[in-house]
Amino acid sequence: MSRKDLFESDVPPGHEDRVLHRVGPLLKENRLANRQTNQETNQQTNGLLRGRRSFAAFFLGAGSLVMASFGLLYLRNSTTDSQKGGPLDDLNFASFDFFDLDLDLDSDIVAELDWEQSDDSWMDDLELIEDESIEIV
Amino acid sequence: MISDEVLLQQIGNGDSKAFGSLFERYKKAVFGLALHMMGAAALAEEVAQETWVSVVKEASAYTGRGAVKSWIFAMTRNRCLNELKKRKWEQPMEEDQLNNLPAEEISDPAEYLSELQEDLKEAILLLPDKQRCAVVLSLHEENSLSDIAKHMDMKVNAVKATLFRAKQNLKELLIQKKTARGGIK
Repeated sequence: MSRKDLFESDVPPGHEDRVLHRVGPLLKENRLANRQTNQETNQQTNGLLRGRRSFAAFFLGAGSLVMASFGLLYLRNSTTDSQKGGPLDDLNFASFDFFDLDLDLDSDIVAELDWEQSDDSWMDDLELIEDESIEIV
Repeated sequence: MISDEVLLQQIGNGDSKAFGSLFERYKKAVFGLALHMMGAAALAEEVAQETWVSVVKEASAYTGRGAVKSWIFAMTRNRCLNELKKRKWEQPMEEDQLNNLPAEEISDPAEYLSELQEDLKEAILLLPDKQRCAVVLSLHEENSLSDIAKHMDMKVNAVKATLFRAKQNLKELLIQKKTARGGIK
């Protein structure tokens, strides 16, 4: 027998009933409080799940959009690549030497130009403009 | 067997059966402690009822530090001390209580020891409030002198003196009881 047991005593008659009568309403309160807490927890859990679902949907949507963008970019790049190899691409302007052109001023084409018959009448007009006696309307 | 901790958790959720189980386990201990601290059954029952009400109210707040049994005993002890302090440690030992101890026959040593324990319990009940509480706190939870002093708002030296007087009174009460039985001539 421990020291604690030394002090054990039989309870007086009716003690159980009196205690149960007092704690009964308190146990009911605890039940109600527990139910309310559970409901709140469930609501929070549901809200959290909804939030997670929304986030998942957003993430998937955004992911799909990004993937689609990459896809389009890839297709565009591959299309551009396929267009390479045209006539212009073959030109190497950097190495093109304009001075290397062999222009023969004495060629027949140049000789055929009729310098004398060129129309110089515009020069006469210019002289007339310089003449202040002419009034420009 | 369901542990005290689980029962307490279920009580926190409002489980009546769990309360019934915990109450059955400790009703005698709680009432006994209250009885030996308060010195009267009517007062002890009041304290015991209040203790069980607190158990139900505080079940959800139980942090799990220490055993449930010790937690319940601490509530009982504190409630008793509060009540006794309110009464300003009244109820001095009465002479007629000492003289009206029931006389019983001693049959064998085992029974004698058992009876001695019963005598001790009865004798403790006859001590004045302060002495009785100091003895119960010392024996029940094996509190140190400084712990008893803290619980009873007393100085350590005052507790020492109180326990010394309590032991003297208990010795005297036990001798009287034995004499009444014819054990000491």
